[in-house]
Amino acid sequence: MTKRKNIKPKIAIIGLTSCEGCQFVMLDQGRRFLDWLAKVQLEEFRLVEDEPILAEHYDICFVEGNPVTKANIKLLKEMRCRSDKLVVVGNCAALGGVWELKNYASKTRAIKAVYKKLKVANPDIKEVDNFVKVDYVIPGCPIDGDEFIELANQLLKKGSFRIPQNPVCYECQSRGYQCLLQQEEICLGPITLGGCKAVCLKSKQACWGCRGLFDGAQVENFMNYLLKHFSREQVYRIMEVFGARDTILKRLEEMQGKKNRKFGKSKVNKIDNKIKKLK
Amino acid sequence: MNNEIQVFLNKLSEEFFLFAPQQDGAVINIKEVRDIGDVDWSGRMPTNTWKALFLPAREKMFDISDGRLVKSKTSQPKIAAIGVNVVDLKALTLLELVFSRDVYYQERRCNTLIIGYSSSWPNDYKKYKIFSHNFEEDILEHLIFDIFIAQFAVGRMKIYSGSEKGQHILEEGGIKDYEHIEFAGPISEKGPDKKMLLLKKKMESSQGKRIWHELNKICIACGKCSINCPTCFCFDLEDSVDPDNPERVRKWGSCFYNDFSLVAGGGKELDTVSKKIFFWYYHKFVRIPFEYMMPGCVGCGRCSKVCPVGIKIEEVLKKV
Repeated sequence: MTKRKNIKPKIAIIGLTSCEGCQFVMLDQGRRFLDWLAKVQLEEFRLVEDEPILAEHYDICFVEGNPVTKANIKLLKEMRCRSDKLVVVGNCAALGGVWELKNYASKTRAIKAVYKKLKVANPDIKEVDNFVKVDYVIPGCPIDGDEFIELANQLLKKGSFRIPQNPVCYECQSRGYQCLLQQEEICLGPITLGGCKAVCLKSKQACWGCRGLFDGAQVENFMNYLLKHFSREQVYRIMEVFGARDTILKRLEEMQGKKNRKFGKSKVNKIDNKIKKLK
Repeated sequence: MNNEIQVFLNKLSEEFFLFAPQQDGAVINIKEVRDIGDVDWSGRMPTNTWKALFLPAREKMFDISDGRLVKSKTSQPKIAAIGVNVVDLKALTLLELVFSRDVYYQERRCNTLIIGYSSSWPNDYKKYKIFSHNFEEDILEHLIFDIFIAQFAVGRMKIYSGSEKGQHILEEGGIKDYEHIEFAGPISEKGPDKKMLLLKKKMESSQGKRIWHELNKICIACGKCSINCPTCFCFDLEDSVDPDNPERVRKWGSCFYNDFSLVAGGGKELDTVSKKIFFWYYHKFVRIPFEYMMPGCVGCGRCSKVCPVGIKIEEVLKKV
């Protein structure tokens, strides 16, 4: 029994296509991060090691970044096979990141503007959970250091974690920052998961939803409100920056679908849509 | 402000951290006083609330030493809250009742000096006037405060003390001309507020009314109103498992978030916006009056001011 206790959980921290900012946030925690590392067996840390050698089995794998290249996808799938739990870290992995901007605009035009002579692959950007099963998400661009340490400790202690489901508005209002929505700016605070200490709002930068939706976000009412005051283009543009648009619209559809089902309208809508397509 | 008061406050600042409403850009905010000249005596309603002084947004409940829970040993700083208007005093009186057995609140309260202030009524108070108030003296008897400064129209003012602590500090500060008012409980001799009882009755029977369906489509459940409400005292407990300092934190909760009514297994009582907002009103206008015989809403109008989608509490009440 004592022997078993001595076995530390094996950890891997890998980075796919990203700015590696989230891995730097981990390193920035200094002593606290090292203390946490002392309790685990760190097998893999792409940012600080020279030659990664894959172990056979990991208990927890942290994935940062977006699987953009084929090598990324291969590595991701490999890691999923070898790990018990897969935790995605940061906005790129969870929501698609800034790269997802090109999904919403013309993909071919974007690549021509960036790579003028080089020929590179130009895939659609998809979140990690499109490729493999994701167990937990640590959101943010970059992640919040205090939150990471807390959640990482929870993971070791009880094998799971839960982020309190409050919006950014909670963080913002309880710290007494000025409301930018009331100053006619598009701020996604009311539907975005809090826990970031409202750092953007502190410097009067509106929330662009890097942490994604929280459980209980009133997307429908909020969209109605935004579209009443701003054009659809403006609103979408803000939502696209951190790749949140597709998630928000998906939730919106779900909410509306749920409502329609209540009134038995879904069938009617489907038929309506079909008729529209035929036309 | 009067010279006498300036001198008094200067002396006070040697012992206390002073907090007072101050002009902050276009709005008035309650914050720590750097220069006594900055204090806003206009009597306008501040944007943020006093409750943060007594119930911080995050408060550590206890430490763990040798595997045991030990009450946190944090020394509370001595704070003087200056210029609390009558409406906010009413809210504090309610908090005092609710947290009468709460060690953390009481510890803070003991180290706090509440100095009330009124320059007639706060400017936009009449707009939000929900509960009938009559003469000032009648009101002061039913409020909790240590010192109260009442400013009348022509530079005339009167100073009251509401507690022994207040008397003591006034004497020390060299102010001899004051009147003592003994706290006579939060409810007036004529019985509970009639308007409050009427509202309670209306609210009780309003479930399912059209107004709640209308709000269901407008409210975005951001919870800003409840965070900025001087009487919203519900809280969440949050445990952190950091091995070096595991702690339990008490933080402001809001019934607009799913976490509020979440139970093991994932079920939640308040699953739609209309239920959430009705719950909020019901607590303010039915349950608090029922439990404490005091209105749960003091009519300060802060919730209307911070609402991004412009829900106005007075209009909702009219429709109810």
